[in-house]
Amino acid sequence: MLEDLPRHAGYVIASYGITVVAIGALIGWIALARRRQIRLLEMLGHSVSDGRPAIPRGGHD
Amino acid sequence: MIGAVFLRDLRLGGAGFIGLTFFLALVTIIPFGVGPDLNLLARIGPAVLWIGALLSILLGLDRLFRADYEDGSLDLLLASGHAIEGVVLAKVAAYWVTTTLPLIAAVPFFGFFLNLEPVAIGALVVTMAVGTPGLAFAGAIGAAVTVSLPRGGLLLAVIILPICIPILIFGVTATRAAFTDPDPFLPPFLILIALTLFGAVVGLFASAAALRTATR
Amino acid sequence: MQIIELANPTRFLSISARLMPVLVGATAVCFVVGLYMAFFVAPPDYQQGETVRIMFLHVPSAWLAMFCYTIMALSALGTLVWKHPLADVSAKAAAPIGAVFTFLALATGSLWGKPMWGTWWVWDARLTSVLVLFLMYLGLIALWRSFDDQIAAGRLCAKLTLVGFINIPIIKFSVDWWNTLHQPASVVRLDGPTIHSSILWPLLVMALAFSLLFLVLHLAAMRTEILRRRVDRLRRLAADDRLQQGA
Repeated sequence: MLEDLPRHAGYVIASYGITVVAIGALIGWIALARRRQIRLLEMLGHSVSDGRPAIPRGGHD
Repeated sequence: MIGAVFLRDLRLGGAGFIGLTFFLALVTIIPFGVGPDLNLLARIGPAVLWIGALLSILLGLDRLFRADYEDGSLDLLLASGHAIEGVVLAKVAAYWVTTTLPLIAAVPFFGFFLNLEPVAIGALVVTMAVGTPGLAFAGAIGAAVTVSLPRGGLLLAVIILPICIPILIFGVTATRAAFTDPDPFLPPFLILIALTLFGAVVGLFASAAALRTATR
Repeated sequence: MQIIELANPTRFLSISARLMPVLVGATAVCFVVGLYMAFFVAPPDYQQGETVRIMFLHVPSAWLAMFCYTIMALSALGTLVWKHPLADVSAKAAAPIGAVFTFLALATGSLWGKPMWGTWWVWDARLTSVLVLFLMYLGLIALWRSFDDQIAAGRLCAKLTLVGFINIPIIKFSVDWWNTLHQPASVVRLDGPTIHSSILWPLLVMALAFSLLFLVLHLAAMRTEILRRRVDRLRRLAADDRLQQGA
């Protein structure tokens, strides 16, 4: 079984590697999307923290 | 009411011819890709024809509800108080008659191109007659969900294909069992019938629900 | 209407903001413990050697792929039956996460299958139904993105999710119903697990780690989706304003 070790180790490394890459990409994508929405919110003049508009809106629906 | 919708769609249905032509084109190019080995063609023939029928059905589904949605008659039908399930039933039935029935009628001729034995051709016709309504109802779900999207055709196929897979599997299994000696024909055939009935019920109610959302 | 719109999502945003650091910490701890156990506690398998360590990735990914779809189905009920405002958000946020876990289940399974069975892929019941699950996830994601009206998209995706839910019990029981290459159930069984505790415990810890990871990602994606809807609404209001001023 010792001669199997280096041969199959590649599959184990590839599995853990692809897991790290895929989950990392997912985290990155969510983080980027969040950053974009926050930037857009600030451009529209609203604060993110409590969700209430920075400028009170009146007379709308 | 259901009858009226059914008859109107029968008259309108022009997709039969193009579906048939597409089916023929498919059957023709398979030997180009696979090679003219007659034994191989006979082995994969049932599957090729079943897949061709499935694709032909999917091709025209785009139009199932689209025209009525765009000119507003879908809204009228809904507002008229009639159950939309009945409308869906009528439209799917008309679709099957105009689009799929020609395909099934053409199967004996296409079977010759693929070197199928008469038993295989007979089994194909029977299994398709039983299984394709299920495919049409499953497809109606996709058509209803994508009715408001202008180019929803490809998305429709992507959504519907997973649902169609069981019918395809049992349709081909039953056909192949008809001309392969030890394999029993009846169990997969009965399951095929069950799948079509189940698909019809689910398809009917899911499509109706989706159409209600789309016209809200 | 506006107050109701603000209240639930806002409360959700503040509660989840406080939960996130705790959850992220717990996830990290679980992964560290789980990976340690996976490599140093679990022994190499008698037949499979070190490749058994792939199981600690493959099985949790597969469980989570199914769990995520179940969450989406429950969210679909929330949308259709209770009209809960956050149900749509939950379903839309979960779909890409579920797709990634399904992809990982397929990929790690393939990498495990090659040394174990000698083949990258086989069309048996379980692998096929998991591939179908992957297709369903992709279809739902595509559907979400095709609509401008996200409320209508939510209702349609909810209905479609429920139609597709039949695949989940098929995946679970496929190895029992059909004679497949994939091994039968050895953990979640009526009679209890059949695998040895030195492999079972690392597996459970890794499963917990993956589940916490899913929770973190799902909450993060939901928070982003709420912000996205807020941005869309503000843009529409701003456009209305400009129209009215111009008139």
